[in-house]
Amino acid sequence: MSWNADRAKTRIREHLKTVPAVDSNIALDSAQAQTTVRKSGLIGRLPIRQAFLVEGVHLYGQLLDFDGLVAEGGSETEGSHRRLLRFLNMHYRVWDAVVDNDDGDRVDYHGARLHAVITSPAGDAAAQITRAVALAGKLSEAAERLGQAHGFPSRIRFGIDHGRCLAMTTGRSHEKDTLFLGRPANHAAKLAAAEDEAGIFLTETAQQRARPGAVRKSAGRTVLDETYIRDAVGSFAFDSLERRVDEVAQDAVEPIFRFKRPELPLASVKFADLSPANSVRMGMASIFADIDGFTDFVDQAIEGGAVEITKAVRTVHVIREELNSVLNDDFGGKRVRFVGDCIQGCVAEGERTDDGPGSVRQAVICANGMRSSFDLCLDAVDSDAAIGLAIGVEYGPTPMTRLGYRGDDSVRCAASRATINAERTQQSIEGSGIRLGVVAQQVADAAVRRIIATGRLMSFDTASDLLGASQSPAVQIMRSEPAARSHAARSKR
Amino acid sequence: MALDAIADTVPPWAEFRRIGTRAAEVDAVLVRSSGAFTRLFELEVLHLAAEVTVYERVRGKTLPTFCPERHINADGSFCLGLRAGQGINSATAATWWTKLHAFLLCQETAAEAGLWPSGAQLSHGDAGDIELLAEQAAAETGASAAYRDAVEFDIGPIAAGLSRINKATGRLRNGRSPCLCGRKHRTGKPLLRRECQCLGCPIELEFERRAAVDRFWRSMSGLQCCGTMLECRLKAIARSS
Ligand SMILES: [Zn+2]
Ligand SMILES: [Zn+2]
Ligand SMILES: [Zn+2]
Repeated sequence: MSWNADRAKTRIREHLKTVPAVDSNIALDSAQAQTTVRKSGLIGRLPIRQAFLVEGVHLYGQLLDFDGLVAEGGSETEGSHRRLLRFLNMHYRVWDAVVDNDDGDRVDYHGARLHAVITSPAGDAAAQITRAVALAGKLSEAAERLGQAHGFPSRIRFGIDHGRCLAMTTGRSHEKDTLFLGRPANHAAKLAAAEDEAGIFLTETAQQRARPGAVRKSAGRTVLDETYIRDAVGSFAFDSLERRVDEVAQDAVEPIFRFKRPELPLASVKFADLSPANSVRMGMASIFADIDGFTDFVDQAIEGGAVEITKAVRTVHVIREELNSVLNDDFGGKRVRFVGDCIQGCVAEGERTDDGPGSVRQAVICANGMRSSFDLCLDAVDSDAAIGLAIGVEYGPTPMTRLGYRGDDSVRCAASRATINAERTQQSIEGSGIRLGVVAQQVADAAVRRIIATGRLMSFDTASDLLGASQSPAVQIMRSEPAARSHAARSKR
Repeated sequence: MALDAIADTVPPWAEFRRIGTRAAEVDAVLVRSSGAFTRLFELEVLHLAAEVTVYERVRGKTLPTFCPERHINADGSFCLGLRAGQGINSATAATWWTKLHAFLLCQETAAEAGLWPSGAQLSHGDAGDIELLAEQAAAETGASAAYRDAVEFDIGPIAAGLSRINKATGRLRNGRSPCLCGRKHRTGKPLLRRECQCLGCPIELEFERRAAVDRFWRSMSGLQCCGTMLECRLKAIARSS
């Protein structure tokens, strides 16, 4: 399979039919939407195919020691991956407890990152921030306890922002995702990822909206006041969280991770069939694709009212679904998650043994197919938004499985140095374009390296010509008629 | 007559209009990998002396008027392949169209990426003939892939072997050592460098090819780079002068 322009256009028309509905009152009064959201609890249980504005706190937690666990003595082995997944699984089980409480804090995770949205008490930003700080404090304590009980490092860095986000849920059963688009989600995530120092950090906006005395100056920077944190942690119970921590800390029975090589294409792997005892693992190329400029676009839409919001929802929905289709249908890859406006996925080549150069090449052609589809999407929604596509690719052995407690809602996970670095590589791109991680760069063949050196995403057609892809008519001609190679004659002057 | 043969073999992607005994117009739209169409190319075909040449009807409309890296000669004619315009008859006309087909497809890629596809070109000027000889020699020694790597990416054993060539003679040093290209006797014993020379050693031919490419670019100096390709020696010449 490969990318085809007509097939993509047909698909995009279908994606347009499933655009989430936007209430015409959305920007004026989101109280009703808030009620719906609060009732639905878990992020993944928000109504599908509806978009809301949600005002509240975005709390991101980053497990700082995740990177260090990926490898053992510098290399990634089944053993190191087993340890990494056990580590994640332990945290996910605790984080899951937050989901189950009655106050409507919603939680989602992606790799080493936790994302919680806190909307109660409604309309009181300062109180919401205090609740988020309390939750972060409890989660830090919990992580420390679990770390001691199970011998894992457990430092977490939290980022907190407050404001309005656009929320929407797409997908089915095990492949479902909820997105929160807009500044607060973005800034909280960035703050959590910004440094390697554990603790709870507020964005400037959150500092301004926090309770008086919550922040103070220390050595030239603004920090949270320890008394404020202690009081916050003390004044919220989070009963189910406490219970879950006891349980996990005492739980000697840990899941056993068993890996087998998946059947290819990777798209045929179903997360519904995966569990710790039935995990897959092989050399894969990780793809992390982000819509550059999207947060600004959404923020302007939120300012602009219902019509603009509807446009933004249409745009992101169509692009997301189509990028997913390109990955899955055109290139046999597997989507792991949608994360905000991003898509995380993997492609793999090599039936018996890992084919590194083949996987990287496939990922690069896929990325360029995404670029072609992205352009068609913008045409289809008639958008002049200043957005682009930025894609990071990294290669390495990667396990895929489901983790956590939630049964049907358990967390889809692909975690390895490659998945971490694909995202980091993407983040290092200024504007739009494509970049390979260090390993992918080494593994890639010369033709791939040459087109990557431009840093640009090209159309699928141009990429297939340059990479000698078998579906390229130019390549086919050269194979059957080598005399068709162009040749500049000597100057006749 | 060459143009008659060309007229008899018009492929579905082209429209052919005879203008006179020695001229014709061609309009072409081609299909790319994804099924998407290329731009419309409006061309003119001339049969001058013993050679058929193709140009853009309005020079510079969709393609540069001149660009060695895009295989457009100083007079605006396309180079569709080694001696592609010569000896066209009913037996070879279809191949001429195939060459034009590939050329136009590659122009789309060059226009977007500033790169000509790997394996879709032959070295400039006299270097083209040397490249063909070297390819043949490399095929005999089982080094075809290594040879392509040397030409296109300057990597691999053949590219590495170049550093062992005596620049004055163009020959590999230490004639009595086994040849670096890996060529062997039928017995399996490695061939000595000076024995390999007589058969045409891919490493030595590559050295020769590169020298011919340099000569080609020197012959082009003073001409202006079109600026559409990522790398073009005319750019370097313009910068240094
Ligand atoms: Zn040429
Ligand atoms: Zn040029
Ligand atoms: Zn030799």
